[in-house]
Amino acid sequence: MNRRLLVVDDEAPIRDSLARHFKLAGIQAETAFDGQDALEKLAKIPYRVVVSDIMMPRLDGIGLLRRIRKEYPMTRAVMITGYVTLENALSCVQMGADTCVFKPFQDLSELDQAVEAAFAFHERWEKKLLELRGLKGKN
Amino acid sequence: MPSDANSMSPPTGRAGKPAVPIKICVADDDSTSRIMLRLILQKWGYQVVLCSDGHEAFDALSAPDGPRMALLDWMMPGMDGVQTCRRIREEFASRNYYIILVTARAEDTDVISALRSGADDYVSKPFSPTILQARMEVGIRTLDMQRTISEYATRMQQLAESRAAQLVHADRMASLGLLSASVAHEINNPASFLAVNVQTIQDLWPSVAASLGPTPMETDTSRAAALAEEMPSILREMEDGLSRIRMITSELRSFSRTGQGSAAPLDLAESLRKALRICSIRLNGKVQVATHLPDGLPKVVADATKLEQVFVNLVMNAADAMEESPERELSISATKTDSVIELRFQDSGPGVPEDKAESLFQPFFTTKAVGKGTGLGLYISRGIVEEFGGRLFLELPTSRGASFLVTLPFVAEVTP
Repeated sequence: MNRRLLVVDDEAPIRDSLARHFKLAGIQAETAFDGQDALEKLAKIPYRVVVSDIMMPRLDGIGLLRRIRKEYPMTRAVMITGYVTLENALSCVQMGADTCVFKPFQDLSELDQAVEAAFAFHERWEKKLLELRGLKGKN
Repeated sequence: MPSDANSMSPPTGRAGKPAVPIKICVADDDSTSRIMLRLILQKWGYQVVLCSDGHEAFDALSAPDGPRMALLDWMMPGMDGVQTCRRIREEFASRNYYIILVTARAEDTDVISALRSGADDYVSKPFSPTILQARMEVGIRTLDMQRTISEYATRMQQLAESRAAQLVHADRMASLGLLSASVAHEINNPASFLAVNVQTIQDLWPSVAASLGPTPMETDTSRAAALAEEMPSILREMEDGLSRIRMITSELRSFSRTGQGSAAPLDLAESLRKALRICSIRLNGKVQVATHLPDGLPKVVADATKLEQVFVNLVMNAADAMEESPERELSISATKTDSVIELRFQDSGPGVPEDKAESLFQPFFTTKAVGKGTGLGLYISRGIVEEFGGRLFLELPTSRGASFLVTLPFVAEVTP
Protein backbone atom coordinates (compact mmCIF):
# COMPACT_ATOMS: atom_id res chain seq x y z
CA MET A 1 0.00 0.00 0.00
CA ASN A 2 1.62 3.30 -1.02
CA ARG A 3 1.89 5.92 1.69
CA ARG A 4 3.01 9.00 -0.20
CA LEU A 5 2.73 12.35 1.51
CA LEU A 6 3.68 15.88 0.46
CA VAL A 7 4.73 18.48 3.03
CA VAL A 8 4.20 22.04 1.80
CA ASP A 9 5.75 24.94 3.71
CA ASP A 10 7.76 27.97 2.66
CA GLU A 11 9.93 27.56 5.77
CA ALA A 12 12.64 25.05 4.89
CA PRO A 13 13.33 23.85 8.45
CA ILE A 14 9.63 23.17 9.02
CA ARG A 15 9.09 21.16 5.87
CA ASP A 16 12.37 19.31 6.31
CA SER A 17 11.81 18.41 9.95
CA LEU A 18 8.24 17.30 9.23
CA ALA A 19 9.34 15.23 6.25
CA ARG A 20 12.00 13.57 8.40
CA HIS A 21 9.45 12.88 11.09
CA PHE A 22 7.07 11.21 8.62
CA LYS A 23 9.84 9.25 6.91
CA LEU A 24 10.91 7.78 10.22
CA ALA A 25 7.30 6.71 10.69
CA GLY A 26 7.53 4.75 7.44
CA ILE A 27 5.79 7.28 5.22
CA GLN A 28 7.21 8.32 1.85
CA ALA A 29 7.35 12.03 2.58
CA GLU A 30 8.47 14.63 0.10
CA THR A 31 8.44 18.43 0.21
CA ALA A 32 7.26 21.46 -1.76
CA PHE A 33 8.13 25.06 -0.95
CA ASP A 34 4.80 26.70 -1.77
CA GLY A 35 1.36 26.02 -3.25
CA GLN A 36 2.54 26.41 -6.83
CA ASP A 37 5.41 24.00 -6.31
CA ALA A 38 3.00 21.55 -4.66
CA LEU A 39 0.68 21.63 -7.70
CA GLU A 40 3.60 20.89 -10.00
CA LYS A 41 4.60 17.93 -7.84
CA LEU A 42 1.02 16.68 -7.60
CA ALA A 43 0.81 16.70 -11.39
CA LYS A 44 3.64 14.15 -11.50
CA ILE A 45 2.81 11.98 -8.49
CA PRO A 46 -0.64 11.47 -7.01
CA TYR A 47 0.19 12.07 -3.37
CA ARG A 48 -2.44 10.61 -1.11
CA VAL A 49 -1.98 13.15 1.66
CA VAL A 50 -0.88 16.77 1.54
CA VAL A 51 0.20 18.50 4.75
CA SER A 52 0.27 22.21 3.97
CA ASP A 53 0.97 25.53 5.64
CA ILE A 54 -1.53 28.31 4.89
CA MET A 55 0.51 31.49 4.58
CA MET A 56 2.86 31.10 1.64
CA PRO A 57 3.97 33.23 -1.29
CA ARG A 58 2.68 32.74 -4.85
CA LEU A 59 -0.08 30.24 -4.05
CA ASP A 60 -1.16 30.03 -0.42
CA GLY A 61 -2.56 27.00 1.39
CA ILE A 62 -6.20 27.93 0.84
CA GLY A 63 -5.60 28.37 -2.88
CA LEU A 64 -3.79 25.03 -3.00
CA LEU A 65 -6.64 23.38 -1.12
CA ARG A 66 -9.17 24.74 -3.61
CA ARG A 67 -7.19 23.31 -6.55
CA ILE A 68 -6.73 19.94 -4.83
CA ARG A 69 -10.48 19.60 -4.19
CA LYS A 70 -11.17 20.36 -7.84
CA GLU A 71 -8.37 18.43 -9.54
CA TYR A 72 -7.41 15.67 -7.07
CA PRO A 73 -10.61 14.73 -5.22
CA MET A 74 -9.04 11.66 -3.63
CA THR A 75 -6.11 13.54 -2.11
CA ARG A 76 -6.59 14.30 1.58
CA ALA A 77 -5.40 17.62 2.95
CA VAL A 78 -4.25 18.43 6.46
CA MET A 79 -3.61 22.11 7.04
CA ILE A 80 -1.19 23.61 9.53
CA THR A 81 -1.12 27.27 10.42
CA GLY A 82 0.70 29.58 12.77
CA TYR A 83 -1.45 32.50 11.81
CA VAL A 84 -4.57 31.33 13.56
CA THR A 85 -7.64 33.28 12.51
CA LEU A 86 -11.28 32.31 12.32
CA GLU A 87 -11.17 33.27 8.66
CA ASN A 88 -8.36 30.79 7.97
CA ALA A 89 -10.07 28.01 9.90
CA LEU A 90 -13.42 28.60 8.17
CA SER A 91 -11.75 28.58 4.76
CA CYS A 92 -10.21 25.21 5.63
CA VAL A 93 -13.62 23.85 6.57
CA GLN A 94 -15.29 25.21 3.44
CA MET A 95 -12.55 23.85 1.20
CA GLY A 96 -12.89 20.42 2.76
CA ALA A 97 -9.62 20.09 4.65
CA ASP A 98 -9.48 17.08 6.98
CA THR A 99 -8.37 19.29 9.83
CA CYS A 100 -6.38 22.35 10.68
CA VAL A 101 -3.50 21.98 13.13
CA PHE A 102 -2.26 25.11 14.86
CA LYS A 103 1.40 25.92 15.19
CA PRO A 104 3.39 25.78 17.36
CA PHE A 105 2.78 22.05 17.89
CA GLN A 106 2.46 20.94 21.51
CA ASP A 107 3.45 17.52 20.29
CA LEU A 108 2.87 15.88 16.94
CA SER A 109 0.08 13.54 18.03
CA GLU A 110 -2.71 15.67 16.53
CA LEU A 111 -0.89 15.89 13.22
CA ASP A 112 0.06 12.21 13.27
CA GLN A 113 -3.52 11.18 13.98
CA ALA A 114 -4.81 13.38 11.15
CA VAL A 115 -2.27 11.89 8.74
CA GLU A 116 -3.02 8.33 9.86
CA ALA A 117 -6.74 8.96 9.46
CA ALA A 118 -6.11 10.29 5.96
CA PHE A 119 -4.17 7.18 4.96
CA ALA A 120 -6.84 5.01 6.62
CA PHE A 121 -9.42 6.70 4.40
CA HIS A 122 -7.44 5.64 1.34
CA GLU A 123 -6.94 2.12 2.66
CA ARG A 124 -10.69 1.68 3.25
CA TRP A 125 -11.52 2.72 -0.28
CA GLU A 126 -8.73 0.68 -1.74
CA LYS A 127 -10.08 -2.40 0.00
CA LYS A 128 -13.60 -1.66 -1.23
CA LEU A 129 -12.42 -1.13 -4.77
CA LEU A 130 -10.37 -4.33 -4.67
CA GLU A 131 -13.40 -6.23 -3.46
CA LEU A 132 -15.51 -4.81 -6.27
CA ARG A 133 -12.87 -5.62 -8.83
CA GLY A 134 -12.65 -9.15 -7.45
CA LEU A 135 -16.42 -9.60 -7.77
CA LYS A 136 -16.36 -8.28 -11.28
CA GLY A 137 -13.62 -10.77 -12.20
CA LYS A 138 -15.63 -13.69 -10.88
CA ASN A 139 -18.83 -12.77 -12.65
CA MET B 1 19.10 81.00 36.25
CA PRO B 2 20.06 79.91 39.73
CA SER B 3 22.88 82.35 40.30
CA ASP B 4 20.60 85.21 39.34
CA ALA B 5 17.76 83.89 41.38
CA ASN B 6 19.98 83.33 44.40
CA SER B 7 21.22 86.87 44.37
CA MET B 8 17.69 87.96 45.16
CA SER B 9 16.71 87.67 48.78
CA PRO B 10 13.53 87.76 50.76
CA PRO B 11 11.78 91.12 50.50
CA THR B 12 12.39 93.73 53.13
CA GLY B 13 9.99 94.01 55.96
CA ARG B 14 7.83 97.10 55.91
CA ALA B 15 10.27 99.08 58.02
CA GLY B 16 13.13 96.68 58.59
CA LYS B 17 16.25 95.77 56.69
CA PRO B 18 16.40 92.83 54.26
CA ALA B 19 17.58 89.66 56.00
CA VAL B 20 20.40 89.25 53.48
CA PRO B 21 21.71 92.50 51.97
CA ILE B 22 20.36 93.06 48.46
CA LYS B 23 22.86 94.41 45.97
CA ILE B 24 21.90 97.60 44.24
CA CYS B 25 23.74 99.52 41.55
CA VAL B 26 23.66 103.31 41.97
CA ALA B 27 24.89 105.30 38.99
CA ASP B 28 25.21 109.08 39.17
CA ASP B 29 27.88 111.35 37.75
CA ASP B 30 27.38 113.75 40.64
CA SER B 31 29.50 112.54 43.52
CA THR B 32 27.42 114.28 46.21
CA SER B 33 24.20 112.62 45.07
CA ARG B 34 26.02 109.26 44.87
CA ILE B 35 27.30 109.47 48.41
CA MET B 36 23.97 110.69 49.75
CA LEU B 37 22.17 107.78 48.13
CA ARG B 38 24.71 105.31 49.41
CA LEU B 39 24.24 106.52 52.97
CA ILE B 40 20.47 106.18 52.77
CA LEU B 41 20.54 102.81 51.04
CA GLN B 42 23.08 101.31 53.39
CA LYS B 43 20.94 102.44 56.30
CA TRP B 44 18.07 100.51 54.72
CA GLY B 45 20.29 97.46 54.55
CA TYR B 46 21.27 97.37 50.85
CA GLN B 47 24.72 96.53 49.59
CA VAL B 48 25.53 99.42 47.28
CA VAL B 49 27.69 99.30 44.15
CA LEU B 50 28.53 102.89 43.20
CA CYS B 51 29.14 103.87 39.58
CA SER B 52 29.94 107.25 38.14
CA ASP B 53 28.57 106.73 34.62
CA GLY B 54 26.57 104.47 32.37
CA HIS B 55 29.49 102.31 31.23
CA GLU B 56 30.48 101.49 34.78
CA ALA B 57 26.87 100.73 35.63
CA PHE B 58 26.56 98.45 32.61
CA ASP B 59 29.69 96.54 33.59
CA ALA B 60 28.49 96.17 37.19
CA LEU B 61 25.04 94.96 36.12
CA SER B 62 26.30 92.58 33.48
CA ALA B 63 28.53 90.66 35.93
CA PRO B 64 27.00 87.22 36.58
CA ASP B 65 26.65 87.87 40.30
CA GLY B 66 26.16 91.63 39.87
CA PRO B 67 23.20 93.59 41.24
CA ARG B 68 19.77 92.97 39.82
CA MET B 69 18.41 96.30 41.04
CA ALA B 70 19.60 99.62 39.74
CA LEU B 71 19.05 103.30 40.40
CA LEU B 72 20.28 105.04 37.27
CA ASP B 73 20.54 108.77 36.90
CA TRP B 74 19.22 109.80 33.51
CA MET B 75 21.69 112.57 32.71
CA MET B 76 25.19 111.16 32.69
CA PRO B 77 28.12 111.75 30.33
CA GLY B 78 29.02 108.97 27.87
CA MET B 79 26.15 106.54 28.15
CA ASP B 80 23.15 108.05 29.93
CA GLY B 81 20.63 106.21 32.14
CA VAL B 82 18.14 105.51 29.37
CA GLN B 83 20.82 104.13 27.05
CA THR B 84 22.26 101.98 29.82
CA CYS B 85 18.82 100.63 30.58
CA ARG B 86 18.14 99.84 26.92
CA ARG B 87 21.47 98.06 26.49
CA ILE B 88 20.95 95.95 29.59
CA ARG B 89 17.52 94.90 28.33
CA GLU B 90 18.87 94.11 24.87
CA GLU B 91 21.88 92.11 25.97
CA PHE B 92 20.42 90.32 28.97
CA ALA B 93 16.84 89.74 27.89
CA SER B 94 16.66 86.49 29.82
CA ARG B 95 17.74 88.04 33.14
CA ASN B 96 15.40 89.82 35.48
CA TYR B 97 16.43 93.34 36.41
CA TYR B 98 14.50 96.03 38.24
CA ILE B 99 15.69 99.40 37.01
CA ILE B 100 14.56 102.74 38.42
CA LEU B 101 15.52 105.86 36.49
CA VAL B 102 16.23 108.96 38.52
CA THR B 103 15.46 112.13 36.65
CA ALA B 104 14.92 115.81 36.98
CA ARG B 105 12.92 115.67 33.73
CA ALA B 106 9.32 115.14 34.56
CA GLU B 107 7.46 115.91 31.37
CA ASP B 108 5.03 113.20 30.27
CA THR B 109 7.12 112.51 27.18
CA ASP B 110 10.18 111.94 29.38
CA VAL B 111 8.30 109.46 31.54
CA ILE B 112 7.15 107.65 28.43
CA SER B 113 10.62 107.41 26.89
CA ALA B 114 12.09 106.29 30.25
CA LEU B 115 9.59 103.44 30.56
CA ARG B 116 9.91 102.50 26.89
CA SER B 117 13.67 102.16 27.23
CA GLY B 118 12.95 99.28 29.59
CA ALA B 119 12.93 101.05 32.96
CA ASP B 120 10.52 99.57 35.47
CA ASP B 121 9.94 102.80 37.33
CA TYR B 122 11.23 106.32 37.69
CA VAL B 123 11.57 108.86 40.50
CA SER B 124 11.80 112.58 39.92
CA LYS B 125 14.40 114.68 41.61
CA PRO B 126 14.11 115.92 44.22
CA PHE B 127 12.53 112.84 45.77
CA SER B 128 11.46 111.96 49.26
CA PRO B 129 13.48 109.03 50.68
CA THR B 130 10.34 107.28 51.94
CA ILE B 131 8.84 107.25 48.45
CA LEU B 132 12.09 105.84 47.06
CA GLN B 133 12.07 103.17 49.78
CA ALA B 134 8.48 102.17 48.97
CA ARG B 135 9.23 101.99 45.26
CA MET B 136 12.27 99.84 45.85
CA GLU B 137 10.14 97.48 47.88
CA VAL B 138 7.89 97.18 44.84
CA GLY B 139 11.01 96.30 42.87
CA ILE B 140 11.98 93.54 45.30
CA ARG B 141 8.47 92.10 45.18
CA THR B 142 8.53 92.15 41.40
CA LEU B 143 11.93 90.44 41.22
CA ASP B 144 10.71 87.80 43.68
CA MET B 145 7.65 87.10 41.58
CA GLN B 146 9.71 86.90 38.42
CA ARG B 147 12.05 84.44 40.09
CA THR B 148 9.14 82.28 41.21
CA ILE B 149 7.63 82.36 37.74
CA SER B 150 10.87 81.42 36.04
CA GLU B 151 11.34 78.56 38.49
CA TYR B 152 7.86 77.31 37.64
CA ALA B 153 8.56 77.72 33.95
CA THR B 154 11.75 75.68 34.26
CA ARG B 155 9.90 72.98 36.17
CA MET B 156 7.05 72.91 33.64
CA GLN B 157 9.52 72.62 30.82
CA GLN B 158 11.27 69.69 32.49
CA LEU B 159 7.91 68.06 33.06
CA ALA B 160 6.89 68.60 29.44
CA GLU B 161 10.17 67.11 28.24
CA SER B 162 9.82 64.03 30.41
CA ARG B 163 6.18 63.58 29.35
CA ALA B 164 7.21 63.87 25.70
CA ALA B 165 9.80 61.14 26.22
CA GLN B 166 7.16 58.94 27.87
CA LEU B 167 4.82 59.56 24.95
CA VAL B 168 7.44 58.40 22.48
CA HIS B 169 7.82 55.21 24.47
CA ALA B 170 4.05 54.77 24.75
CA ASP B 171 3.78 55.00 20.99
CA ARG B 172 6.42 52.29 20.58
CA MET B 173 4.49 50.10 23.00
CA ALA B 174 1.28 50.76 21.08
CA SER B 175 2.98 49.73 17.84
CA LEU B 176 4.17 46.55 19.51
CA GLY B 177 0.63 45.85 20.74
CA LEU B 178 -0.70 46.21 17.22
CA LEU B 179 2.08 43.96 15.98
CA SER B 180 1.69 41.29 18.65
CA ALA B 181 -0.06 38.83 16.32
CA SER B 182 2.80 39.04 13.90
CA VAL B 183 5.34 38.67 16.67
CA ALA B 184 3.55 35.52 17.83
CA HIS B 185 3.72 34.15 14.31
CA GLU B 186 7.39 35.01 13.98
CA ILE B 187 8.07 32.89 17.05
CA ASN B 188 5.61 30.17 16.05
CA ASN B 189 7.60 28.95 13.10
CA PRO B 190 10.93 28.32 14.81
CA ALA B 191 9.05 26.93 17.83
CA SER B 192 7.30 24.52 15.45
CA PHE B 193 10.36 22.98 13.92
CA LEU B 194 12.03 22.85 17.31
CA ALA B 195 9.02 20.87 18.52
CA VAL B 196 9.12 18.49 15.54
CA ASN B 197 12.79 17.80 16.06
CA VAL B 198 12.42 17.25 19.78
CA GLN B 199 9.68 14.76 18.97
CA THR B 200 11.89 12.98 16.45
CA ILE B 201 14.63 12.57 19.02
CA GLN B 202 12.13 11.40 21.61
CA ASP B 203 10.68 8.84 19.21
CA LEU B 204 14.07 7.45 18.29
CA TRP B 205 15.82 7.64 21.62
CA PRO B 206 14.48 4.31 23.03
CA SER B 207 16.00 2.50 20.03
CA VAL B 208 19.28 4.32 20.47
CA ALA B 209 19.35 3.50 24.18
CA ALA B 210 18.48 -0.14 23.44
CA SER B 211 21.08 -0.46 20.69
CA LEU B 212 23.72 0.72 23.13
CA GLY B 213 22.64 -1.94 25.63
CA PRO B 214 24.10 -5.41 26.04
CA THR B 215 21.74 -7.19 23.60
CA PRO B 216 20.74 -4.85 20.84
CA MET B 217 18.01 -6.06 18.50
CA GLU B 218 18.27 -5.50 14.81
CA THR B 219 15.36 -3.04 14.68
CA ASP B 220 17.03 -0.96 17.39
CA THR B 221 20.27 -0.65 15.51
CA SER B 222 18.65 0.34 12.25
CA ARG B 223 16.57 3.07 13.93
CA ALA B 224 19.62 4.21 15.89
CA ALA B 225 21.51 4.45 12.62
CA ALA B 226 18.69 6.53 11.15
CA LEU B 227 18.92 8.96 14.04
CA ALA B 228 22.71 9.09 13.80
CA GLU B 229 22.37 9.97 10.15
CA GLU B 230 19.75 12.63 10.71
CA MET B 231 21.25 14.09 13.86
CA PRO B 232 23.44 16.77 12.17
CA SER B 233 20.40 18.17 10.30
CA ILE B 234 18.26 17.98 13.41
CA LEU B 235 20.81 19.86 15.47
CA ARG B 236 21.37 22.43 12.75
CA GLU B 237 17.65 23.12 12.52
CA MET B 238 17.27 23.36 16.25
CA GLU B 239 20.15 25.77 16.47
CA ASP B 240 18.64 27.81 13.65
CA GLY B 241 15.28 27.88 15.46
CA LEU B 242 16.82 29.02 18.71
CA SER B 243 18.86 31.75 17.08
CA ARG B 244 15.77 33.02 15.28
CA ILE B 245 13.81 33.18 18.50
CA ARG B 246 16.72 34.90 20.18
CA MET B 247 16.93 37.46 17.40
CA ILE B 248 13.21 38.21 17.62
CA THR B 249 13.31 38.70 21.36
CA SER B 250 16.38 40.87 21.18
CA GLU B 251 14.80 43.05 18.48
CA LEU B 252 11.66 43.39 20.56
CA ARG B 253 13.67 44.22 23.62
CA SER B 254 15.60 46.92 21.86
CA PHE B 255 12.43 48.31 20.30
CA SER B 256 10.67 48.48 23.66
CA ARG B 257 13.68 49.94 25.43
CA THR B 258 12.90 52.98 27.58
CA GLY B 259 15.04 55.94 28.37
CA GLN B 260 17.09 58.26 26.28
CA GLY B 261 18.96 56.57 23.54
CA SER B 262 21.94 58.28 22.10
CA ALA B 263 22.33 59.61 18.63
CA ALA B 264 25.12 58.00 16.67
CA PRO B 265 25.99 57.62 13.00
CA LEU B 266 23.90 54.81 11.60
CA ASP B 267 23.10 53.05 8.37
CA LEU B 268 19.61 53.89 7.08
CA ALA B 269 19.35 50.64 5.15
CA GLU B 270 20.01 48.66 8.32
CA SER B 271 17.40 50.61 10.32
CA LEU B 272 14.88 50.16 7.56
CA ARG B 273 15.60 46.43 7.34
CA LYS B 274 14.99 46.02 11.07
CA ALA B 275 11.76 48.03 10.93
CA LEU B 276 10.52 45.91 8.04
CA ARG B 277 11.34 42.77 9.99
CA ILE B 278 9.25 44.02 12.90
CA CYS B 279 6.37 44.67 10.48
CA SER B 280 6.99 41.59 8.38
CA ILE B 281 3.93 39.54 9.21
CA ARG B 282 1.65 42.55 9.09
CA LEU B 283 2.86 42.94 5.51
CA ASN B 284 3.33 39.32 4.58
CA GLY B 285 1.35 38.33 1.53
CA LYS B 286 -0.77 41.45 1.81
CA VAL B 287 1.60 44.23 0.86
CA GLN B 288 4.39 44.13 -1.72
CA VAL B 289 7.32 46.12 -0.41
CA ALA B 290 9.93 47.32 -2.85
CA THR B 291 12.98 49.08 -1.46
CA HIS B 292 15.26 51.11 -3.68
CA LEU B 293 18.28 52.14 -1.64
CA PRO B 294 21.37 53.06 -3.58
CA ASP B 295 24.60 51.45 -2.36
CA GLY B 296 26.99 53.50 -0.30
CA LEU B 297 24.50 55.93 1.18
CA PRO B 298 26.27 58.07 3.76
CA LYS B 299 25.27 57.56 7.39
CA VAL B 300 22.87 59.77 9.31
CA VAL B 301 23.14 60.72 12.96
CA ALA B 302 20.13 59.51 14.93
CA ASP B 303 19.01 57.20 17.69
CA ALA B 304 18.57 53.80 16.06
CA THR B 305 15.54 52.72 18.09
CA LYS B 306 13.69 55.97 17.56
CA LEU B 307 14.37 55.96 13.84
CA GLU B 308 13.09 52.38 13.57
CA GLN B 309 9.99 53.58 15.38
CA VAL B 310 9.47 56.23 12.70
CA PHE B 311 9.87 53.64 9.93
CA VAL B 312 7.54 51.15 11.67
CA ASN B 313 4.92 53.89 11.95
CA LEU B 314 5.20 54.85 8.29
CA VAL B 315 5.11 51.23 7.10
CA MET B 316 2.14 50.31 9.31
CA ASN B 317 0.27 53.43 8.21
CA ALA B 318 0.83 52.51 4.58
CA ALA B 319 -0.37 48.94 5.20
CA ASP B 320 -3.47 50.21 7.00
CA ALA B 321 -4.20 52.76 4.27
CA MET B 322 -4.04 50.07 1.57
CA GLU B 323 -6.25 47.59 3.40
CA GLU B 324 -9.12 48.05 0.92
CA SER B 325 -7.00 48.72 -2.14
CA PRO B 326 -6.91 46.24 -5.01
CA GLU B 327 -3.16 46.75 -5.39
CA ARG B 328 -1.09 46.97 -2.25
CA GLU B 329 2.39 48.18 -2.99
CA LEU B 330 4.73 50.13 -0.80
CA SER B 331 7.80 51.59 -2.41
CA ILE B 332 10.59 52.86 -0.18
CA SER B 333 13.32 54.74 -1.98
CA ALA B 334 16.26 56.84 -0.92
CA THR B 335 17.99 59.64 -2.76
CA LYS B 336 20.89 61.79 -1.72
CA THR B 337 20.78 65.55 -2.25
CA ASP B 338 23.47 68.12 -1.43
CA SER B 339 22.76 68.15 2.27
CA VAL B 340 20.23 65.46 3.15
CA ILE B 341 19.10 61.93 2.41
CA GLU B 342 15.50 61.80 1.30
CA LEU B 343 13.61 58.65 2.15
CA ARG B 344 10.29 58.34 0.36
CA PHE B 345 7.48 56.02 1.49
CA GLN B 346 5.03 55.80 -1.39
CA ASP B 347 1.95 53.60 -1.10
CA SER B 348 -0.78 52.64 -3.56
CA GLY B 349 -3.66 53.43 -1.22
CA PRO B 350 -6.38 56.03 -1.65
CA GLY B 351 -4.03 58.88 -0.68
CA VAL B 352 -4.68 61.81 1.63
CA PRO B 353 -6.97 64.74 0.78
CA GLU B 354 -4.97 67.96 0.57
CA ASP B 355 -6.86 69.62 3.43
CA LYS B 356 -5.89 66.76 5.76
CA ALA B 357 -2.19 66.93 4.94
CA GLU B 358 -1.28 68.84 8.10
CA SER B 359 -3.96 67.42 10.41
CA LEU B 360 -2.23 64.06 10.02
CA PHE B 361 0.61 65.37 12.12
CA GLN B 362 -1.61 66.67 14.92
CA PRO B 363 -1.67 64.58 18.09
CA PHE B 364 -4.64 62.21 18.40
CA PHE B 365 -5.66 62.68 14.78
CA THR B 366 -6.55 59.27 13.41
CA THR B 367 -8.56 57.85 10.56
CA LYS B 368 -8.27 54.35 11.96
CA ALA B 369 -10.88 52.42 13.91
CA VAL B 370 -10.84 52.47 17.70
CA GLY B 371 -8.06 50.19 18.92
CA LYS B 372 -6.23 50.29 15.59
CA GLY B 373 -4.28 53.45 16.10
CA THR B 374 -3.41 55.95 18.76
CA GLY B 375 -3.35 59.02 16.54
CA LEU B 376 0.11 59.71 17.88
CA GLY B 377 2.26 57.91 15.34
CA LEU B 378 2.91 60.67 12.86
CA TYR B 379 2.97 63.37 15.51
CA ILE B 380 5.66 61.51 17.42
CA SER B 381 7.50 60.44 14.28
CA ARG B 382 7.78 64.04 13.12
CA GLY B 383 9.12 65.00 16.55
CA ILE B 384 11.74 62.27 16.33
CA VAL B 385 12.87 63.21 12.84
CA GLU B 386 13.08 66.90 13.79
CA GLU B 387 15.08 65.97 16.88
CA PHE B 388 17.78 64.73 14.51
CA GLY B 389 17.64 67.81 12.31
CA GLY B 390 15.38 66.33 9.65
CA ARG B 391 11.85 66.80 8.37
CA LEU B 392 8.86 64.54 7.90
CA PHE B 393 5.96 65.59 5.71
CA LEU B 394 3.38 64.48 3.20
CA GLU B 395 4.29 65.25 -0.38
CA LEU B 396 1.65 67.07 -2.39
CA PRO B 397 0.25 66.56 -4.87
CA THR B 398 0.74 62.90 -5.58
CA SER B 399 -0.33 60.99 -8.64
CA ARG B 400 -1.29 57.89 -6.68
CA GLY B 401 -1.50 56.94 -3.02
CA ALA B 402 0.22 58.84 -0.28
CA SER B 403 3.87 59.73 -0.26
CA PHE B 404 5.65 60.55 2.98
CA LEU B 405 9.07 62.05 2.84
CA VAL B 406 11.68 61.79 5.58
CA THR B 407 14.75 63.93 5.15
CA LEU B 408 17.78 63.57 7.39
CA PRO B 409 21.11 65.39 7.19
CA PHE B 410 23.92 62.98 6.47
CA VAL B 411 27.37 62.74 7.95
CA ALA B 412 30.05 64.11 5.67
CA GLU B 413 32.30 61.40 4.33
CA VAL B 414 35.73 61.45 5.87
CA THR B 415 38.10 61.22 2.95
CA PRO B 416 41.57 60.00 3.87
